[in-house]
Amino acid sequence: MRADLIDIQVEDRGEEVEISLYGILGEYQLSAVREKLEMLVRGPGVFFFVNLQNARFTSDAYRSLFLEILNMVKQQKAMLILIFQSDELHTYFERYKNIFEIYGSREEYRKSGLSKQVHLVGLHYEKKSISLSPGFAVFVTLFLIGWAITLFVIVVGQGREITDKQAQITALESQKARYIREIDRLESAIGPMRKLGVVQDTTLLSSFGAIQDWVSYLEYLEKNRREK
Amino acid sequence: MKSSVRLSSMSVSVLLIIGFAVLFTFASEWYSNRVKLENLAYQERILHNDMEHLEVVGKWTLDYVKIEKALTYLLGDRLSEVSFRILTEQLWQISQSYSLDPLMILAVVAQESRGNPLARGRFQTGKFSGALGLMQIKLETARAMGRKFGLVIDNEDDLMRPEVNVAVGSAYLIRLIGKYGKWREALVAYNLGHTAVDKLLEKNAPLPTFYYEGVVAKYKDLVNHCSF
Repeated sequence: MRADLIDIQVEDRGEEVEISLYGILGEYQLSAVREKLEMLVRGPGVFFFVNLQNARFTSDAYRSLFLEILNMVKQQKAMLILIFQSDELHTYFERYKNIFEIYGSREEYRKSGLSKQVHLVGLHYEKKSISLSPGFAVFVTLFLIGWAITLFVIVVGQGREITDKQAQITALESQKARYIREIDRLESAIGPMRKLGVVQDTTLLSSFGAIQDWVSYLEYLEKNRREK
Repeated sequence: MKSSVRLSSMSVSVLLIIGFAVLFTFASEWYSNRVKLENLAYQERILHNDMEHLEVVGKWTLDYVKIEKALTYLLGDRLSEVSFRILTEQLWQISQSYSLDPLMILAVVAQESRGNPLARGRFQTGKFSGALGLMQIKLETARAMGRKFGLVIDNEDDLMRPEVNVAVGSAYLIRLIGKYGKWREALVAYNLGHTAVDKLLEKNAPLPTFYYEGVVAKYKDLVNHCSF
């Protein structure tokens, strides 16, 4: 067995790539680990989870290696997450704990915050651009199109309602005009208003007071009838 | 970041501006349509109210015109202008109060007095029967009815006033309709007296219908004359 051989396992889930390192990793394995990690982070994926739970480092050089890998990942607008729980590894990365994202498991990372959830869904925000995963982009596009169509349908519905109302009002206005014409015609069959005592200046029927039109006259009669 | 949709800040800004423009256009359009709809609904409400009022006034006018036409047809120029108008109003108010076809009362007037306000009823022997005026009411009956309806009838002269005579006669007729529930019995009782009709009904004897038929014929004649 060669001393520079490394035990590494890669699990690829689309945008998530989990790289698990096993065994004791010292100076001899450094170049192999570097080569392998560099190759993997250049490949497809957005979230690179490096599982170190079963690895033990005997050289400080790995800290520098992970810093380099982190830089590479960041240049590619991706993310590097270290996964481990052991106290020994926590001590090993103590100096860089604010630089690396360290979690006990992938699940723990998922639950660690809304922004990370959103990142996992497929939206990745940076200062100069926003990246969306194809699935999320399709969803956003469909949502926006649906939204625009909904607004359009609402406004079109209102327009239709306005047209209907206007038609109803026109019909009612013509019916009203017809009624008025009909009443005028009937009224003209009765004779001059003076005869009915509805003209204000009539001396004969002073009780009518200010009644000057046919409708007021009928309303006067009706009021009079109710009072009887 | 591989296999993802990347949007530059400029694209995002443009999309946001378009989104807000669409939203603003929609909101303003929706609001203006809403205001239009509210105005139209208000106009419609006003028109409906106007129509309801016109329908009532139309019916009132039609009744008034019918009464006036029928009275002119029946009475000619036997009444002064003032008496004619008062009688018209009286009949109009009676028909409104009791939801009664005014032409039915005038058909009784035609049958009883042929529209003569000074008519004095006589038996076949030529002897004065006591029936007076347009609806041929006896003073005794008029006094009894007057007490019930708040009318003061002292003497024959009161009963010879057309508006008093018609008011008393109509009240009597309406009372008979209330008692018998049918026009036929009520009209026969108006002619023969309710005691006579009660006796005939008790004996299950057939009612003489010549008077009723005469009134119905007069009613039809008036309807034909007053149709528009």
